[in-house]
Amino acid sequence: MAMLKRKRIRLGNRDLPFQLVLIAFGIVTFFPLVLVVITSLKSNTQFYHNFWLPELPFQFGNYSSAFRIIWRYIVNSVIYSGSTICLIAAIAAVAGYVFARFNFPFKTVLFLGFITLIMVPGVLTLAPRFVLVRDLGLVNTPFALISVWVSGGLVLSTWLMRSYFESLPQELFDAAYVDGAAEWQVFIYVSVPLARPMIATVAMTTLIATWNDLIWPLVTITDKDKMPLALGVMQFSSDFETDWGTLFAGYVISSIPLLCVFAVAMRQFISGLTSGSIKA
Amino acid sequence: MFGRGRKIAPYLFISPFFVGYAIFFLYPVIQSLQLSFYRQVGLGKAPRFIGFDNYIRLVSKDDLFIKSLTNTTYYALGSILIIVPLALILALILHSPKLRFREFFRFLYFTPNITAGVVVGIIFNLVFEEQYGLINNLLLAPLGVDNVRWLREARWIMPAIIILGAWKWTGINAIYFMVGLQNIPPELKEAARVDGATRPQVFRHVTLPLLRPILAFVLTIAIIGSYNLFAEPTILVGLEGGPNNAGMTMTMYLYTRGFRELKMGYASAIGYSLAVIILVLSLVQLILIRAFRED
Repeated sequence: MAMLKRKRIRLGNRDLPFQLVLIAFGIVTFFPLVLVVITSLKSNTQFYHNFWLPELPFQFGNYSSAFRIIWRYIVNSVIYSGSTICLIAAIAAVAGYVFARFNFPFKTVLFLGFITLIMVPGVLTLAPRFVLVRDLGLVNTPFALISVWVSGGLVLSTWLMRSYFESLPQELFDAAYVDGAAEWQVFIYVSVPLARPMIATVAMTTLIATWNDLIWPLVTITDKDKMPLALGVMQFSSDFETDWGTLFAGYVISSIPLLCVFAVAMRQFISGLTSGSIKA
Repeated sequence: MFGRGRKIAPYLFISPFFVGYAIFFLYPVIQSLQLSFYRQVGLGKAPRFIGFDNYIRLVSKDDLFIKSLTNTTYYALGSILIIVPLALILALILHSPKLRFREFFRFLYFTPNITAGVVVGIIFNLVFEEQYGLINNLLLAPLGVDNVRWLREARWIMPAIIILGAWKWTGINAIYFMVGLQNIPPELKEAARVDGATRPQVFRHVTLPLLRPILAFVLTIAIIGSYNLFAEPTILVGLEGGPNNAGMTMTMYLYTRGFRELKMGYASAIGYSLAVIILVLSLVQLILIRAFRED
């Protein structure tokens, strides 16, 4: 919202209807979220008295009682999603680089074979994945989530990284080779810095997918203390079923981390998408 | 390190990708196929081979499967016919060069997409609430329309879920379209304008054909996403899908059979049917988009 800072609004006549459509869309999009904030500041009496308008006094106490429960889930999610993102970024960057810049037997076949399987819906493997994870003794551990999220996200991420590295001009690399750089130096000092927008995009898509994943944690994590945020919020909903204010304060708190990340990183995310990723 | 081992080095460096992928993705995919030919109830029991029985039962005797398939297809159609065009319109407006606060709008439209499914479900319980809810109260009542029993009446459940879907997915799809619009050189449109083409003609003959790759991408994602729909309807109307199972999607059905009743074999057969449907639809869609090429 910092972008609103005191710019004077001048509208050309022709653009006015468009602006109005955008604003109407914006209100429709945002109002439900505002409603959550409004409800989060009410006591139960206020909630039943007036459903969708704010009422004084605001109950800020709802936030502290909700935070006491929610913070643990946020920490869990940061750890789970964070490790997943780091692993995916590292593995996909290396694999994408190798697929893009090396020639080796079966390269295309290998790559196409893996890409086709991107169509396979996640739930298809839900049952056998659960059996596998259970047999490995990973149920109720972070590894149940991280291992599956990493392997699931790798395909798309490697694809994105590969198309990005392919789009970089050969001269960039030639210069480094002429200077006597070894392959790993070219990768670390030339390719990775250049690929920052795409790494950001990979990180973002992974973040959204893992942060809000519900079905896999639902199956593998039953221990309340270890639940990621999406599942924790559901647990929280049943624990606080009758305390509307606290419940909604919890929802607001749970939405803040991703909103912050995206407010800051939106530009990087878009620029990664623009740089030829989807064309592949 | 690359000198002598140049031949095996590439394989070495992609091996983490392969290993992770093979263990937690490829193996379950194959395992699932095998499991779908077995009868397995409970986790400890030995599976029994029954050939195509699971599939035959799905298609011929399982009304709930057909129901969930119909519901999911209803949603997919809604998402393709309503959400995708809406996103395209939004993107065209957002792309207009004179627009102010573009970044702000972009962020605004993106917010639903990063809100957790559980929260979205709860919000929309308020939106669709019969007596006090937003839609009935703020939109329909002023127009003199009677309260719609959104989540209580079977025929209104899928429209409600589509409205939720539109709220959640229009923004991100608009952003994908914007990316595509940015990649179209403005000279092309100007040239067409100079040649006397009207705005709609420019859109039809210049913009739309050039957007095809993005359109294919958006539609593919929409199809995959629709057939994987789980969190929102579950929160909105419960795992059973509300009255007459009107909101039960295929993944919800799979989850119920597999993890409530522990029928892993049967659940795998549902999963494979779902995979085949998605694969076929995506391919058909890609072929259709190709068939509409201008050249």
